[in-house]
Amino acid sequence: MRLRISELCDTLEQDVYNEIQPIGLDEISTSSERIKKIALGKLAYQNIKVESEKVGKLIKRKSVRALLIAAIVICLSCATVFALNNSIFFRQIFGDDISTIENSIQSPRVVVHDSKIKMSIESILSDGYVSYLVVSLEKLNGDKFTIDEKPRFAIHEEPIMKGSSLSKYGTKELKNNIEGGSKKYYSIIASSDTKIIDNNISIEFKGMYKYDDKFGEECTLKSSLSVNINHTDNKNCKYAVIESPQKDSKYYFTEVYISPIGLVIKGKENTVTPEPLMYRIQIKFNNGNTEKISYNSQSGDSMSGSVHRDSGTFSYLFEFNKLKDINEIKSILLNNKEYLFK
Amino acid sequence: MEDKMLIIGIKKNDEECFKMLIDKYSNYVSVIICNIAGGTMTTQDIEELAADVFVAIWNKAEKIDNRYGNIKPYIGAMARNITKSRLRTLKVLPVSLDDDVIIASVDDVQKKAIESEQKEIINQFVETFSQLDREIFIRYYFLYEKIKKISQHLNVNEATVKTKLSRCREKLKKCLNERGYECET
Repeated sequence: MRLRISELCDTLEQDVYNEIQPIGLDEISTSSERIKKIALGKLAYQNIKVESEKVGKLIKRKSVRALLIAAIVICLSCATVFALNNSIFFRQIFGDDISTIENSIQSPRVVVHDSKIKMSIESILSDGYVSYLVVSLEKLNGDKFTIDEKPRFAIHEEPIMKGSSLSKYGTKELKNNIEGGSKKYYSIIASSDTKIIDNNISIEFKGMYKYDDKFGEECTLKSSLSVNINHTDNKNCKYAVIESPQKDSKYYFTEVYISPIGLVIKGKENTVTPEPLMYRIQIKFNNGNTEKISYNSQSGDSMSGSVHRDSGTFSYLFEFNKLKDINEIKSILLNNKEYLFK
Repeated sequence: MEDKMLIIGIKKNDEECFKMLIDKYSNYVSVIICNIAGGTMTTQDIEELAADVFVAIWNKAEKIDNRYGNIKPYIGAMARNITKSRLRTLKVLPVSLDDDVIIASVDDVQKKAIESEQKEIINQFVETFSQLDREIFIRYYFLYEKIKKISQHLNVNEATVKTKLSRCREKLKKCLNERGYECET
């Protein structure tokens, strides 16, 4: 064992070096704001762990899974979450101007891992119906992901509710210049025609796959990790004022809800028919301008979403491709009838 | 805000004081980390580690002696220790200092003996230096600053800095020899 002078200096008295300012204090390129955000995030995560231990939450191993699985259930309702610098990813999803949603982005920083891979839930943006999740995957051995490796995720509502229609679609790799090739970021869009407020969402990572013309689909990294995250309500939304339902008409609306990321129209049919119900939907702005809302990719701001009609109830769900400033939206016209937002 | 008030605030879990502490000392911590790690860390790594330093200070706030009005030396020592500890975990060596090894081979018994006397040895030793020699010694062996930067900062040529460091080492060896430890020649 060697003894170094620098090690001897570990026990120098404070008075000896107190007055000596390191050289280059003004030239360092680190940011105190970023350090603050990271430090506060670490303190918050520390608090989450302490609270989890207090209520008896444990790291579980699910013996029914084939490989090593770590499932961490963390209740976030008692913790403070700090918005980290994840706006870069939402700019990739929505464009440069994300001012209407920036305060709504949550950063739970929940992490699970097995011996091969680590999954982190980096951030969530949700209005209760539409949820955007930014998830990262990191190979723990430092190997890089190949360009054709694609992850598989599954999403469930926990606990599973009768009639829950939570579905996942649109996993997309996000550009990331921060990490090396062993860590990738993905956006996952999940939607439900039933508003998820108090339940958790369970995200399951099922492995990496690639498709080869010659050999078909191949699993390159088998894993099964799952994590539950608290899916809290987003207050950045408006409801339309619906008058007493007109029960003498074929159908009537029960709820119209808009957020910067989506629109939900719900109602009931007095007479169930196979005919389409909605033929014209427009939102009207404070300045009098209107914008058509449609699943038709040919028109304006194309949108995705879903329609559910079942046993006399219906719901139309639209995810906006471009963010809407709900403070600028006055009303909605449904089949030429205007409903004001409050 | 004065350090004394920041210490009191952090002991009371005041996050505003914590933020102010970071604002005041983030550059100081970052420079120490950067010097010790050499070129092995990116800016993001340094920021991450700096955050760890401040979180450690928060977690150990109870142990900070707030009779002293100045927390800077405590922060500096914490930054140094956490950086070296992290580099050990990553199996990366801190930046190599010339002639850092003072005793080539120390058995466990000797190591324990030195550890018990270490604080006395190094502090008494440094007290014997002139102000300039002490500053050069501390900048090089404590703050891991490069000889070129030290010479520019103190407006002393590099050869002089090297000579002074060499004389400091010789004095330290003599001091250790007198206490019965065999040093590198």
